[in-house]
Amino acid sequence: MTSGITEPIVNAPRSADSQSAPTGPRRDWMRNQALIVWVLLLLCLPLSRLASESFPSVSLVANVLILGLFLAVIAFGQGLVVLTGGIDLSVASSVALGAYLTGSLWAAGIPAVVAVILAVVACTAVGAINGLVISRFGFPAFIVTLAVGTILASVLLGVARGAPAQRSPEGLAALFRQETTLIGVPVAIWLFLVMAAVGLFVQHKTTLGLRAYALGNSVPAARNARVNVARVTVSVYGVAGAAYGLAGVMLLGYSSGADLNVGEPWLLPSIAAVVVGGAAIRGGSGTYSGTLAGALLLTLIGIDISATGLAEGYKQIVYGAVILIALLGSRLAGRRS
Amino acid sequence: MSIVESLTRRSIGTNRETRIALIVFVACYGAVLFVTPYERNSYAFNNFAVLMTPLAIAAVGTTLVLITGGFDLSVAGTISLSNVIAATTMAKHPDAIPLIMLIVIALGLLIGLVNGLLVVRAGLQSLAVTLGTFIILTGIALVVLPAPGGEVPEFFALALTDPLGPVPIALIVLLLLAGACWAFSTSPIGVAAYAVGADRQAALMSGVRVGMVEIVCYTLAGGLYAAAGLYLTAITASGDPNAGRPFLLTCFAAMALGLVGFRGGSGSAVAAILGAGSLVALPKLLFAAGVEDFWSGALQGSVILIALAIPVITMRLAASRRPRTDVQEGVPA
Repeated sequence: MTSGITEPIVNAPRSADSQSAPTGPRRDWMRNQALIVWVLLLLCLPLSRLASESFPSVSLVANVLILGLFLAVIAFGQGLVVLTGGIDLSVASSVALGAYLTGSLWAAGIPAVVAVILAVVACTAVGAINGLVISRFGFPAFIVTLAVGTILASVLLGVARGAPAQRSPEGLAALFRQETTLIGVPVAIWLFLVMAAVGLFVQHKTTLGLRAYALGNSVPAARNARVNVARVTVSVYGVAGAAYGLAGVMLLGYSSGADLNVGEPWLLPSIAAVVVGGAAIRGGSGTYSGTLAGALLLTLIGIDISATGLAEGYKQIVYGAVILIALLGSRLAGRRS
Repeated sequence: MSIVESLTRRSIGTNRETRIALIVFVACYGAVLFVTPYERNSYAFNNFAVLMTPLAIAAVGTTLVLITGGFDLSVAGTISLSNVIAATTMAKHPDAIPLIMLIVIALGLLIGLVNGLLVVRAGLQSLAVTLGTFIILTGIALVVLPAPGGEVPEFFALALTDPLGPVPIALIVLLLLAGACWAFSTSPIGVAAYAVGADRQAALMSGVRVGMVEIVCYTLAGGLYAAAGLYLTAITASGDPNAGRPFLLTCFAAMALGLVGFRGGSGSAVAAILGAGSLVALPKLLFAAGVEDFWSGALQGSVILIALAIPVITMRLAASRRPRTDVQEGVPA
């Protein structure tokens, strides 16, 4: 192929012709990529032996599922946004908002359930603001979410006044203990299954999910099909915000407390999980099943790297390399067909 | 669009944007001087110039890429890496500092080249590629220096930050940088970069070597980030594997304040330098007003959104005026 054939800008209105042609064959391959990642995940489980003598074990699988829960929920929001052709860099602040609000409202004497609901609603509102600004003004999504995320982080810091970590409500923390089981399986794993089912349903069966695909494939075409582009954008970012908030709540429970940096480690893995799962970063294609596999695979790799005692930096290098390899892989596969 | 056309378009645009950016900068810095008496001396001016230099250098890099229509997030990773390399090696080998600087800048150029090749030859999206390299570079920086620390010889720090007689070195650096930007934007490759960003197909058809131009821009940008990282090291005199992280936001804020178009094909790097100056001046105003430091993030974020909104709002105003005249003309016909 000749040089210089790249898509111009992320959010520039794309011409429909360049987009529609490769969708058919590429779609088929994308379905395979989700499968490939699941197979890779199953292959990597026994390979964990290389990282530590005690792997693979039942507790490793349980840990992957429990730790993968947070990434799966965050990557669900990120995946929806990527599906529309955007990217969400406000993840860290939204997760922190969810955790902080739950903790501080509960500390102020509000029942835990109400606190959780209020926190998730607040995160939904932040996401909706993202969507509103993006759809009203047509700014690039990554700049808007970067700016909103920074504003939110700064406001949180200002409001919290550098307060120490929030404590988790007792019931919430109990939910995430390994001993808390339902039919012999930790509750966190049940939560993972429920969240996976909800994610699959929302992305593939609801109007919102299908319209997100439509938006990602071609905004003009979606508009012609009478899709209210602005409303879909706002709802997609809102739902994504709710997912981040929920993840924040769960992280608060899991670690029995959380400071304002709780969301920081999740932004980059969330994008990596979505890309590894086979979603096109330009939007319009990808499955939540692939994202789930990507999230679990990254979690497993993360646990393995920690087990070998390598520095934290190697985890980042792997995440970045995985993104680039997945991009190149899907590009090459798209070219072949 | 022919190159000649895009050249005229650009020169008109550049002048206007630079002028507006200059007005904004003069207003911001003037306000700082007005409200804070202790900023009105040569020492404070030197500090100001020093503080804005790394941001200005990095923003010029991201502007080069943005002009071709790409987004470069690797700025944060490259600055972190160059910062930790300088902070871990310079103190051990004080004699080899010029060599280390050369190696770091060469490394930055190499990173930019890889970005450019991945974007152009592999046809990947710039945002995704540079996000990947950003994460990898941050990881490498964490491996090189897991926690903030390290040091640089004092003479290296002073050589880059102390004023040379009455003239701050930083000011000389900034002026040289502005001159280089101007020279680049009038050079054949610079003109071609605007053409590529404005209309890729047209540039391709006019015989512009689109891929080569893009790769040159990414490569130069990588070198600039590394240089920004070196200057940052001279200021902080230490290393931090996350030193580059804030630049992700501030570079885009500086470009927004410099009215660099986020769709590519327009904008001027000189205006981005002025934008960086305005961005450094704004927190000083907040400080003078007695607002706590941690609100400065909110300020920078809002500044991006407001600066982005200005062209849209003026366009909407113009558009809302136009249809009315259309209707009036249309009715008699």
